[in-house]
Amino acid sequence: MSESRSLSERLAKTPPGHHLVPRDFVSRNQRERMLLATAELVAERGYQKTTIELIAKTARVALVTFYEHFASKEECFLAAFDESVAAAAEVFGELLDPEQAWPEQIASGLEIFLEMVVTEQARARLCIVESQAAGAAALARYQAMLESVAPKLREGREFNPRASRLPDGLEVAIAGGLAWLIHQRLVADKVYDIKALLPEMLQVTLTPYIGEVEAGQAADAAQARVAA
Amino acid sequence: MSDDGAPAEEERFLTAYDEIAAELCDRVRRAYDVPGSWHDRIWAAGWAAMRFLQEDPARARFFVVEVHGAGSCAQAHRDRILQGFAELLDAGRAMLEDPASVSRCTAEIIAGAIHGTLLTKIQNGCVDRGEDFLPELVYMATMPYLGPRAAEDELLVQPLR
Repeated sequence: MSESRSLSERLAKTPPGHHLVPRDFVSRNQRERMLLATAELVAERGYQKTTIELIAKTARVALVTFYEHFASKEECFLAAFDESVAAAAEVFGELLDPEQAWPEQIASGLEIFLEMVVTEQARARLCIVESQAAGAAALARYQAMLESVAPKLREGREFNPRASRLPDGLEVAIAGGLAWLIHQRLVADKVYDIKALLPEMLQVTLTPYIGEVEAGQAADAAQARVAA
Repeated sequence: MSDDGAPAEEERFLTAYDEIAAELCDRVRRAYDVPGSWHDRIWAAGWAAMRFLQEDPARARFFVVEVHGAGSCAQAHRDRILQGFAELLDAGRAMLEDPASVSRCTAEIIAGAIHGTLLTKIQNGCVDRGEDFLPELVYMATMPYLGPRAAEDELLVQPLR
């Protein structure tokens, strides 16, 4: 990845306390600290065991400041989710090359995704694990996140002459399957070698569209990159 | 669900959830364990699961949808069920020329894909039309092991009602 600083580093700007800076800057910084604290706490303790008091304490803001920004823990969680997904989308937008052939775009996209899971584990847990345990609104966000990937995957249908047979929901299903694989590694704290999953993830993703032989070749190329 | 968690409520949920899970897994396993090809056994397991979900839509919704939001322990119980289904799928590796070319990860991806599809269908109140979308679940289950062409033929199956 071209950006050397993690998302956390980019967000942890101004420390708490009195500053001669514009109020809206302080307010934005406080909000960012609370969102970051939420991601870290939820990753460590789970959504149910994360309290507003803990979020405020970790973000080093007063409780009244929390309630100036968010009406509830859920609202804060959803804001953290939205911010994380938006940041990830920005990274994809910066790093993906739309001029690449579709299979290579998918390979690059998966590679970037796995890299982000490794470097931003708290946010990955928030988006992929805890969003499924944090109530109906969070689950809807999670499902919308999967659906947002579908259009790019669906472009692969042009490679399959029998694409009209494929289930309408195939792309969302594939996204969900890939997410669950990573979900299981996050829950088990087995993220250190997650990039080794890339070839097989790619094989499963591409096979419905370009066939198992070409998907296997793409997976082999990905394997070579992972090993390098 | 309160902000500081509600362990007792989660325990009650888990008790009910585990009872349903035990019955579902028993029926799916008995259907899967009959003699026959892996492909036929996957169809049998799929039918058994679909019938179970269709028998009681409220139970299906509780089991598949409401587990989300019931806490981390509930998620862990759900994940154990999915891992169990992944085992059934993973047996499809024996259909490959080189079974070692694919790892259990593929089965996990497919189990997650099938679960996500079921979740959406049940949320949308479609479980009573399970016969209509069971072929697409079998397509997903068989695609990595029988190949995409053979799996696509599953989509043409018109299940008996």
